[in-house]
Amino acid sequence: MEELLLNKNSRRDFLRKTGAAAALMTLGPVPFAALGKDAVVQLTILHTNDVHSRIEPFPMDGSRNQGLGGVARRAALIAKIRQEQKHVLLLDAGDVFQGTPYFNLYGGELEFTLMSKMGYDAATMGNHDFDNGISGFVKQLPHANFPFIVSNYNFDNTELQGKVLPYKVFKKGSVKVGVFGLGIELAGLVNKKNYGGIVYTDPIAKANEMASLLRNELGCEMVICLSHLGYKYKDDKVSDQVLARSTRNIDLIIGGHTHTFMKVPEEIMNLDGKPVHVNQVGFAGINLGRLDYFFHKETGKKKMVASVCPVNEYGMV
Amino acid sequence: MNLPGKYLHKAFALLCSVLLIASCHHPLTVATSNYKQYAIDAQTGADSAFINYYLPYKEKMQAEMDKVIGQTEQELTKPAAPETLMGNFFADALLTEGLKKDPSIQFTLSTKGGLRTTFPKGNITVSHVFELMPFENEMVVLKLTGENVRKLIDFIVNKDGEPISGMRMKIRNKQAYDVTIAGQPFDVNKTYNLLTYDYLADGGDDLECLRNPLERHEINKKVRDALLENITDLTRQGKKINAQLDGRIVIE
Repeated sequence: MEELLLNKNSRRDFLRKTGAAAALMTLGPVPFAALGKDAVVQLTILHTNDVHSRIEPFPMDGSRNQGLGGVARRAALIAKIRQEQKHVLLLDAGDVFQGTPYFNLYGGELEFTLMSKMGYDAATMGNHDFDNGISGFVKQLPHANFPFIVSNYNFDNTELQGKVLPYKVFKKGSVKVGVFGLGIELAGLVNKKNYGGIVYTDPIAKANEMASLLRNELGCEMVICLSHLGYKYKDDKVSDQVLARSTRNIDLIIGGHTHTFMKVPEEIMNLDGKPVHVNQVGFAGINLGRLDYFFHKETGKKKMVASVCPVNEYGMV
Repeated sequence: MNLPGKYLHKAFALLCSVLLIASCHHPLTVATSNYKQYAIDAQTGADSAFINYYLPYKEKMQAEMDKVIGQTEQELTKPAAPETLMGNFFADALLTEGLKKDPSIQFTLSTKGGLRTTFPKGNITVSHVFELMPFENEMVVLKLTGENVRKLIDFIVNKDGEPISGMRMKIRNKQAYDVTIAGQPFDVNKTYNLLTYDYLADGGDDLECLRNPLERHEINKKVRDALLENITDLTRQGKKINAQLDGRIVIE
């Protein structure tokens, strides 16, 4: 298993240099402070949701969001962060499509191409991504060099069969990050003709199944859910809040659909009493969310301990 | 081996972590996490390569949106009134275009909230039509029971009128009377074919009476495309958009 988590060469290198390493094995654990700098892996998660074909900034027409957003700025910001950070994961929580004539005229080609150029690692599907039907989405897929991840839609016997992933494991340094996706119920929200034979399944049950697979079987240190369920509702409709408290093994829910401008991620205790972070950054690419997780190699047999301290730096440019 | 003590210690630490990695299922834990949010605004530098990439798309789009497709005789407004010039234009255009696809259609329903802009007097561009109907709504035909049409009439009365075509009514004391559909007096014992769009048919704007039609079939045409075709057609015939208030809904 070590080859998954530690570069083979560095391990061999280390053994060669120390020589007597084997003799030291019996001496017991060492204090955390003794661990080298390399024992910390920083994972930088960047995220957007509901960008809705907002290629250019909102026009300067006196409206509330005038002058905000724009892909060229987002691209520059992401490039700058990539220069500073080695391990970046760039994610989108759906509704890439619809909102400006760029979508109406080009069908989403430009959105996917520009996201590919920015280096998006994955996105989930929102209800508006079906606005030109399944075939309209499939037609644009060649312009996306990143996967779409949805776990709770059954795409069998549709044009999307085999074209959307149920989950994906990303390796960032020595950290394995599992990502799965949850889509909203399409009936009543999307014309049946546009989602055709896609079968929606219970997001809570599917989330538990996916998160357990990623955590327990695939050994992910971090499990992220890309959700287009929506942050919260007045009634008991399934939402990110409901999802967080009704599941196990999820560390972070990156949400969308409700266009919620959250100043900081919300921390919610899951079924195991462990914290889950839920975040959403409005819509239209007005904001880019950034979460930095610092992973420490443990010195004992103690399992996952997450002591998470969000630092509020809202509105940083 | 004569490694200095401090290196040995470090080496040991590394070794331990290697061993733990090899043996422990969750060797890494999240110790801390930070959150930042970047507002993307004029202070954020832009990557000109991205602008250069989308510029040709923008120019082509701009040219397409600025294309003049027709003219209005007068400004099409939508004041708070039982019927409006914009509402009548919109509803009549849907009926005209719907009938080309399905001659059984008897009347159409839209909602005032669905009409997103007014038209100026004079040139009408593609952009105007996009502003009027930015959504991808598609036309659908619903076969309704007379009882559900009666509920639909009540809905229109409660809203002090909605954009309709093929239907006329008078309203007194929040009650509709002299209701006609396709030129015939409304009969609650008959069934009727309504043209509307999927958003309303699927329960938008609380139109419960449209939820369970006797039959539903898709026209497979976006409302916006129907409007574009309607205006283009008028222009081809040398006509201008000439919506009129014709007393289709009168509140006494």
